[in-house]
Amino acid sequence: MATALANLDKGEAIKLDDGTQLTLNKAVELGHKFALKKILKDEKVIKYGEIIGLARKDIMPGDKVNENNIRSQDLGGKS
Amino acid sequence: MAKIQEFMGYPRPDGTAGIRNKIAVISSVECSAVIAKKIAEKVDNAVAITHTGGCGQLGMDFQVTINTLVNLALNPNVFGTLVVGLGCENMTSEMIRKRIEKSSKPVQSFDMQDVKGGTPGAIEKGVAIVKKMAEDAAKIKKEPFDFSKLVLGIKCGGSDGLSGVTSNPAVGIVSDRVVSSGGTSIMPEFTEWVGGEHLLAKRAATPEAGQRILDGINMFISEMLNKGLDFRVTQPTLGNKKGGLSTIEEKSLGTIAKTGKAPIQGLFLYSEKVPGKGMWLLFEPGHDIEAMTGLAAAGAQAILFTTGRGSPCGNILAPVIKICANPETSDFMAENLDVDASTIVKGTQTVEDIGELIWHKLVAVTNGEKTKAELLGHNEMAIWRGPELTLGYFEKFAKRE
Repeated sequence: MATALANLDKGEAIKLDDGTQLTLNKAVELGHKFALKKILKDEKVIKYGEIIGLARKDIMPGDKVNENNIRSQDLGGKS
Repeated sequence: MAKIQEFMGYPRPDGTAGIRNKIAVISSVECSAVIAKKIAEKVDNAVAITHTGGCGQLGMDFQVTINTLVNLALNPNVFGTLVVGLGCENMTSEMIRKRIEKSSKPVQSFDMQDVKGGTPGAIEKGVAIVKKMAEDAAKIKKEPFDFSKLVLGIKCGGSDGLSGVTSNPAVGIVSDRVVSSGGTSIMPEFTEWVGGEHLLAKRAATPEAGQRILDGINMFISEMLNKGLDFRVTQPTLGNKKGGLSTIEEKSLGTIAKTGKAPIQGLFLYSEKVPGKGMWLLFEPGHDIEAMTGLAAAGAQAILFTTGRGSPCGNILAPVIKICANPETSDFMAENLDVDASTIVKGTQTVEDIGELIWHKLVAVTNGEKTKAELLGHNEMAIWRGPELTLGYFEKFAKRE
């Protein structure tokens, strides 16, 4: 999971530290998140090295990540 | 070893040190709140401490309100207190005064129904008392104190997806420095520990303290669920989501970054004084104004407050230092913000640099520099009445006086 430090446009190419590149599938606003690798439905979503929730559906690299595609583990999916 | 940071403060008879020199005008009941406000308006450095209770309050709700009022009067930033009652409430002005008297701080009280002249008469009487107290307060000479006398509140409000990776860890650096100076740091907002409570419990100084952190959250969740309410659905808030926070866990992990790395001494209840030195957690559900009132009652002389989305709020007694790492908000609400941490996002400064900047601002504010919230007149206060909903937890742990 990465946090956008600026407003990023759809289609923007992001270079990762390991040299690989990904393309944003949607605009990602300042402070919002996008996926660095594929996360399958119900898999754990990690930020800060800790679990911040579970995927509601399959998430692809470059997808914007928010309450529409991840859910709280603590709430059993209510939020 | 480096010399411990000092500040010039006001010595108090109970051994504490104020960074401000205020006179508190407390209303014992809502019916005398307007009178308390009008008295405080007429004297420099006087502040009105008012609330919506005092009349017919019962049990733990009564205890929490009166403990908060008494402990606000005992905040080191207060020189002396006038308590104004109506005269028919069950939380009497005399009751509050007698508890404050034990600290040897100046305190007086009267009830409006005992004063001839109605509202104008009560205001005139109150202003005369408070003016005299303010004259006595002005005679107090500042003395040097080291940061072991500092009690710091750490709070975030209007958080966004940046707060947890920028301004909150920078506050964590400052909190750790206060703790390693022998001082105290307090974080409220337990609703924002959910999902990260295991990390807080792991850092507890004793297994008992760790267990109490977990019990506190679990009891609150289950007692609310028994009433058909789930507070967790309130988190993250709509504003948090707009700022990029998606789950309660994500918000919590960002929130607890403010506590740095220091061992956590334990959890204490809203309305109580902080039980000791070091890093402490305050059982309060993250309502900004009520949280900061609880921090002031716990004894905090100053509060660090990070915001991503923007917040104007201050506190009635403790100067509130506003820190913002969101470049858009830093520009849009610059009038309300004390430390611009957006340079982290822009890549020109590190979290450590901003920690240093916050530290210097804190030192300046403890030495009298006014914060933006103080200059703008943001002196918000409200007492959390939630213990009514969570009787079991408070009944189990509350100290009674």
